[in-house]
Amino acid sequence: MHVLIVEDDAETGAFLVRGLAEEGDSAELATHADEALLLAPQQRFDAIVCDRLLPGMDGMDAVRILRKAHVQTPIIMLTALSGIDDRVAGLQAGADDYMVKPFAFSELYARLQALLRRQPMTAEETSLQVADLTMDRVTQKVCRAGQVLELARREYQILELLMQHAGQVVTRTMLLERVWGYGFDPRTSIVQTHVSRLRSKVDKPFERELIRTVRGSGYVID
Amino acid sequence: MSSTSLAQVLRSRTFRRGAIYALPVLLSLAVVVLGLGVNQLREAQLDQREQIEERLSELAEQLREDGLTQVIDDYSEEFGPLWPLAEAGYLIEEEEVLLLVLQAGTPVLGFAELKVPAGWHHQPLAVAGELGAVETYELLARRVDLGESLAIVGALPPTLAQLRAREALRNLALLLGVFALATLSAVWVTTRYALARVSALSGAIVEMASGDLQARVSVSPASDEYDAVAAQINRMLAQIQRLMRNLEEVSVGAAHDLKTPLTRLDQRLQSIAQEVSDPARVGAHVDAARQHVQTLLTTFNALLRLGEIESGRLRATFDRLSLSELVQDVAETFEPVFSEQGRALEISVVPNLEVVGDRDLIAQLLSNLLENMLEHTAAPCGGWVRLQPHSDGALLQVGDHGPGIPPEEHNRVFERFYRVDKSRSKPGNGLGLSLVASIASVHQASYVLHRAQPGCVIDLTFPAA
Repeated sequence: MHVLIVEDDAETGAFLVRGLAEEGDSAELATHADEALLLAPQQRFDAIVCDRLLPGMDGMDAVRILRKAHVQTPIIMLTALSGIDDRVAGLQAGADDYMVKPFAFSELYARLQALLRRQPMTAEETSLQVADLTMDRVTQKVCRAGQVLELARREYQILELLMQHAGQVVTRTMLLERVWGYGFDPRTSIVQTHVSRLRSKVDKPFERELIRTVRGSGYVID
Repeated sequence: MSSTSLAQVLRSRTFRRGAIYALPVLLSLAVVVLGLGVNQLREAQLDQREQIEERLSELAEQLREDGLTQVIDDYSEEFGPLWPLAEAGYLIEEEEVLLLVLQAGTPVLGFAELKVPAGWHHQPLAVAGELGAVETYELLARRVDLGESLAIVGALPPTLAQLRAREALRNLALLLGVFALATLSAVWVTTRYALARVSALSGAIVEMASGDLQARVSVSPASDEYDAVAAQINRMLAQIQRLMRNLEEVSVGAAHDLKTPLTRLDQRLQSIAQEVSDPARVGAHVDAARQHVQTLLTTFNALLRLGEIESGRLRATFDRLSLSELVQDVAETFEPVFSEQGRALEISVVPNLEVVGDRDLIAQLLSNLLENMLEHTAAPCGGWVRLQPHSDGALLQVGDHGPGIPPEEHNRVFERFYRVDKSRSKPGNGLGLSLVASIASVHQASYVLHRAQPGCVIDLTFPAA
């Protein structure tokens, strides 16, 4: 993928460009909002990563301008501000996701992938399938190899998110935000505990393990 | 009290106010009372004048018609032409006009003791009474010249009504004076008292400002309005003292809590430099280093979160929400974590209890309490979460069967960076319960920690939505 990075801090900018290059992706770096406003509509970027505090302009205003100009590229806002209302304001301005600095590159990358994948799947699928595991999102029935699995509400929601992003890493923070709706980071491993319960039902009775742990970042189903 | 100067009292608002309110009252009282008195006095005096004029014109009539000789004859039956002074005493008692007739300036009839200036005038007249006591009368007198070197004088002492009016007027004036004096001294005393009390209040604040954190205002047992203010100021001073002490402890606590992970991070970085040729070891060091950075960030995030909560900014986004559903959800989220460690978490939630608040904050509050339980008690110690209606709204109770917190620590555990474990060897940053307290406060929920037998219980009372 080709990513536009709007970031005035040289060290963070270089960190992002290097990280993307290592994953085999390309990036262009803009250090000013004006530059980003020129570049974003011209070139075909797959995603934009935009810092909130830019010299001369709030990143949020830049996003608002881009959205008004019908630039539909997925945007992730980066910010050192962690307030709950800042997050809401960022999403209202038209950003697709919002990340608080400092962040792990793996977290950002997982979110970028999730955004890109979401694009062609805008129509909400009513059924999801990964290998021999199927999920009917209307009846909320989950089957593996013809066997019906009894999942608790949270387990179902975790599996749903994993299956929607099959093949991609879903981080713990993403699960906390999207399954529980929590904006804070619990100190205990509640996500880990619930995922391990899910695994005991989805994977343990079967030969092949579908849910994998990606060390230091999250989970992937494939 | 003696320290207040005259200038201070005169400048004082209390004094000026008092004077401004008292003066118009005093002035109008003076105008009304004195005016009435003077008027009454004047009327009484008019009667006196009329009586004198009437008697004089009667005498003048007699003189004109009968002639001087005849009149002297008529009036001389008892005492002769010139009357003894003692007789004046009787006449005065009878409220009769004293008379004198002069011919060419020489008394020929009546009381020769009367003085004879022209027109209306006052003159004293000393008369010896029956028992020999001399009484002096203040007479009002008039001389009328009749021509042919004849003049008559009529004199009358003040009537009883006049004397009464005069005395009443004098008494009223005296009363007014006393009243004015009393009012002014009341204002004066009040002002000096107020100044003294206020200066005691400001004195304590000045002492506090100059660094004496122990300074307090004395509160008298009278519990008047100054005592109420003094009590409030003392409460504020105590709060400031507590905050100052807290700030010191927070700085030390923060420094300590940040220093430990920074030291470990530094050690890992040094190890990386030493073992740069061994990729496997470097990888392990990097992972450990990132863990330490994570610890630091968690602490900073908690501090920022505290700041955000305490600014009250979030209150604008508060909404009515089902506390029952939220508590059930968070407790159920933690239940597997407990059971994985071989412990039980009992959940009992009365449905349909609502509060006004922030979902994320309340979730964090309960989650912090449950995490504390997981960190500070060990298996098989279980815990419980209860939500039930309360007269003020909803009562959330979270308790465990662990060792509990010593009662003397109950107030302090909510302070930032405060740790019951003074060695700071257990995990955590001493901010968990501070967050609980802040979140409760921003929701106007009261919280109290008490000791179960055994264990620890926190009661959180949320106001009804």
